Amino acid sequence: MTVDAIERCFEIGWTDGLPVVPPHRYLVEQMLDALGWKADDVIGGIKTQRIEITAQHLAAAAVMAGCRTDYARVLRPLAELVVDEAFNVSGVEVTTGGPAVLVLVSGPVVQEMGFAHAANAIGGANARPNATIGRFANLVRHFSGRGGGVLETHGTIGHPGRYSFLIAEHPETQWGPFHTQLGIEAGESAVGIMAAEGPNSVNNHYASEADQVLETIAGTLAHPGFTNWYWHFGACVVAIAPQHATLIASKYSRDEARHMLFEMSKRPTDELIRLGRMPAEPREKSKVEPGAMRAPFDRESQIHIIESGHDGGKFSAVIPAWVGDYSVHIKKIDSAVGSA
Amino acid sequence: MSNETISPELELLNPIPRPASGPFTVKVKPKKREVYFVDNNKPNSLAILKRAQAELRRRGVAVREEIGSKPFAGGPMTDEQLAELSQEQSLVLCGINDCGSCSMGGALDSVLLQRAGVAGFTILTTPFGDRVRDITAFQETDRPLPAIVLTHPMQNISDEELDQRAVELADAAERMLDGEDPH
Repeated sequence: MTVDAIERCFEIGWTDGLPVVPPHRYLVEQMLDALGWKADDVIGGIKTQRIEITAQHLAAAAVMAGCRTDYARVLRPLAELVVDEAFNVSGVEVTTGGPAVLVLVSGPVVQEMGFAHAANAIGGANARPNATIGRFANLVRHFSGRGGGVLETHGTIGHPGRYSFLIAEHPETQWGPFHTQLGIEAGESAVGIMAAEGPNSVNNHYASEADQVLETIAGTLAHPGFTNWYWHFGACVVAIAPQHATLIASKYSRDEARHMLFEMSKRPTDELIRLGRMPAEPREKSKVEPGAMRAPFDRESQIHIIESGHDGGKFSAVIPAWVGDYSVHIKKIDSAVGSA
Repeated sequence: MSNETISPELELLNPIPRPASGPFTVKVKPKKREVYFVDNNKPNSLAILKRAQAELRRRGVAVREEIGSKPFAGGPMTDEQLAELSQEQSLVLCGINDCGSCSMGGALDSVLLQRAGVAGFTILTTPFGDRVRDITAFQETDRPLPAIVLTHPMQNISDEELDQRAVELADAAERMLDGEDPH
């Protein structure tokens, strides 16, 4: 019966391409109880498409992703973020940019819920909280962003994160929790999202100075194909693994490191024009100044640093935002949810 | 597997939200024989709209000097912009939408304008030409909502090609001023 139900989900398009846990009523009701929602509660929507996204839609997606009910305290704020009009879930789903919903988890909840934050932490940790909660966010994107299933997605190349893409930060960090960059107190736990392209690895094993590592990361941010050169500025997440983080933190605060990355990632505007990366008639907001140096960010706060990854290797990663997303969207996690 | 043969608790619950229906009447011919362009700020969009303005004027068609501006292309227009455009008597043409998210936003713009009683339409490029049909799949309309579909691409093309897109747009606009489909 279970295999039949899995196959039935494939037949009717209730899938991201992988087998799902069938959203049987009893499982969805258990998830709703954990989330503290009633089935018909409207959690978000797309007003212009006359779409209301209810708690039942979201609880069903959580079941299908393989989430446990005791993940509810992360799932609830995460769901609210994804279906908030400000995130533009339909745009994220159908765009030629092909982004995923990147989920960022930080604070005590990482240890309490058993998120993997060391080996292969940048979206590839084979741990259930990472894999299923990341998958949940992307199933909601897929199910809710396609206008009831009729809008074709136009992702030109996409990336594997569209199945699941979650980064959990180390419980102990060099610079304080990730979410303090976005106004949430250090002692709290938080979940954030960003519409994101795939990660670019940054390898620097021989550097002995913080500036060398920062310049290497900045060079990855500033490569000619970086999305943020495309007609306006954008955001990014920089995931720094322990060996790079320790070296950088020996000299710089996190804000100083962000400032350095902003400055070091500048390229000559004329070179970008030569490469065809600037429009012929740029709008005023794009601030294109021939002859000047140009950063891929409008402000330093669009660079979001998260500390994650295994000790041992000297790698970090750069994760560009989708061109239509300008920052990380974040919420505090309420530890009371799902605890009844 | 059929739901008749399983217990209620094993019923599968739908994770996909559907749009609510909302009937509206499609208005092609504007109250005033004039074209008003709204630019979405995509690269080369404004260049084509300006050339189409010039082409329409050359043909003796009234076209508003001012070109409206939509600040964010990746979604539908804001409530404020919709309220402003809802007063329009002219043929309102919004674009040019040449990507996945902006074509979705543009298709919604045309639905929003039509609901407000405005002869408003989106301008798309060929790979995204089905967007309006798709976005109205759950709506009830008296006839299919038209869209102007131009040759793709528009971002990396020559002056000559920009002119060609502008002529395509001017041709479509003229037909719509007469109450005809654009293509």
